[in-house]
Amino acid sequence: MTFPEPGHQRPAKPLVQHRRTAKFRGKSLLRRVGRSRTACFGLGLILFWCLVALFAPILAPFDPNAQHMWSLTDPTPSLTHWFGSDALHRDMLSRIIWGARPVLVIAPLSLLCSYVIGITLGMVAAYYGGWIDSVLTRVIDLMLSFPKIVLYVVLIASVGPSAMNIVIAVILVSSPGIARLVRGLTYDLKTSDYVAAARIRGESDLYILAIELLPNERGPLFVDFCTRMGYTVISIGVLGFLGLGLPPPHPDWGGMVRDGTTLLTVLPHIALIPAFAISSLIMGFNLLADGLQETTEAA
Amino acid sequence: MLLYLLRQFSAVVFTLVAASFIIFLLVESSPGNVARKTLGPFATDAQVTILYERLNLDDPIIVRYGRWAGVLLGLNADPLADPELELNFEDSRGHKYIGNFGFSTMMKVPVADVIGARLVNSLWLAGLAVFCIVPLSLLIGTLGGLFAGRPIDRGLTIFSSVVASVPEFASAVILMSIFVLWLGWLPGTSPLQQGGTWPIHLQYILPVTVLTLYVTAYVSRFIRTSIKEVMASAYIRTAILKGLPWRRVVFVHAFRNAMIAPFTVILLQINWLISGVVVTEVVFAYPGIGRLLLEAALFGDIALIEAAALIAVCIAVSTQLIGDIGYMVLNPRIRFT
Repeated sequence: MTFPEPGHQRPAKPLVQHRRTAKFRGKSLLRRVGRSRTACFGLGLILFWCLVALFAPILAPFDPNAQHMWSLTDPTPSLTHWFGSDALHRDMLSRIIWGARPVLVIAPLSLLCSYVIGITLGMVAAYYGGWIDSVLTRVIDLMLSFPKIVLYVVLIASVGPSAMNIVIAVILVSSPGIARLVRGLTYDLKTSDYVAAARIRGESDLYILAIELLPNERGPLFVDFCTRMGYTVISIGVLGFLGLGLPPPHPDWGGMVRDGTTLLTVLPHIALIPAFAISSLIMGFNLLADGLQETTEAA
Repeated sequence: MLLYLLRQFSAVVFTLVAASFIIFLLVESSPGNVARKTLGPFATDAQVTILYERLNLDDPIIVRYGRWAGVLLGLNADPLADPELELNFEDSRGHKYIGNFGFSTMMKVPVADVIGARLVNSLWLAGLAVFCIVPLSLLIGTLGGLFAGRPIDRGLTIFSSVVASVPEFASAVILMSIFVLWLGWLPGTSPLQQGGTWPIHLQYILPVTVLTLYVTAYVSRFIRTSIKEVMASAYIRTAILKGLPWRRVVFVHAFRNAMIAPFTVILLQINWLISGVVVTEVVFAYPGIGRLLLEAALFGDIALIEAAALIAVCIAVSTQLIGDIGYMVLNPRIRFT
């Protein structure tokens, strides 16, 4: 065992190793999923819906918007229409399958944008501190004190419902929460030795933030991402349900439940099937987050 | 302590002013002519022109916000009450009073007339839900936390994960299918009108259950974690080792400390509760402020949107303030600074 000479208190080697541990962490994330049965089950549910969305054109037996008049007499589930047909005689199974697409595109896309914004704001606030921090914290607190649903309803109602506007609304609603989380994480990490070392080496702030700090915040951020995916899917569903989601002909789970509630007393399957579909996807994300959290606590 | 309260209070005021500006900005700077949107598609061009001038829509947004805030604080009159517009809008309270949100173009009455009763209904719904949420989540969370890792905890965790995955509109549909359609025990809508086939107290059951399920699942997890952490701490071990009865350790030593974090969580859940309230009210046709907000938003009733949104923010911010103060009072380790 050799001691570092004075003046060389931070040799280059540990830094390299540190970056390697960050790389290994990515692998251990998958291993952590494998270790928890809950996480596996959650991941399975998510993958199932991803595959359904991906192969929608092959899997769906009918066009999701085609009206089948012969089902007029009996819209309940049958051999031709496994999940029955809805009030406009469209095949429910096809609509459920195609309906997986908008959710699984809008939710991750808008969340990724929110993470870019949230991470930038949170890191800048914590790293630079001072007035930047206090201004940003104020803004974040302000945005978080809004009930989410109010922001969603007011926003979408004033700009009109469309996929793009839902993405914008999700970004506005979720980035402040992410910024607060990242600010906390960065605040804890910025006093660590390797940040000091990078500073002494003369690395730029951008390098320290993106290469030194960000990889070390991956673990909590990933758990947060899974939880937030669940919430975002709920929000998209709620927007669809309130009539602020995708415009009508598109198959959209929330909107399908909304259409079904008016006929609930006669044909409950129209509302129940999409309700179960959306719940199972949310459950996937929640269980994955739970499982990851569990293995983090145990480790 | 007084200084602390004063500071918190001024922060709340700041938040409300900023929030009202954001709402105003979102509602009134959306594409299109605000005068046309206020009056609706059936107004004459002459009316739109008059309102456009009265509202001075060419002014910068901040000036218009100032004027709107003036109406709200009773400093100037609402331009919609102008007899030249021929809308016949009349307000029994006069033209200038505090809390004047203007006129609802959807209902053709002053907003202040509509909001009151709806707000009371929503508060009832939310209050009843909280009344169920708190004991239930305490029970589930405490059981889970005390027996962490054992079968009972696993069962409860799975249960709350599953329940937390069913959004309110889905659970409402599922519960309605079971209790309204299949069993026929409860009414499917809750318009709160006397004289229907269902008495009013039965109309509350399903909406309250839907709200309770989701939020309970969420809050009980926090309580579970909190109890689990406290039970693992040294002072609890000491209490057990010195031979105190287990029940006393749990209820006197652990419970009080473990409640500090969940207390804030429960109060901060108000944001979840509010969105739940909106959805539940829409599902069950419950005459509350959430449904009012949605109807106003879909109709394009600007004054009503602003009023309902601002009231929702107001409720959220004030419960957060209560949560903060309660946290300070419960936790003597935090100093008032």
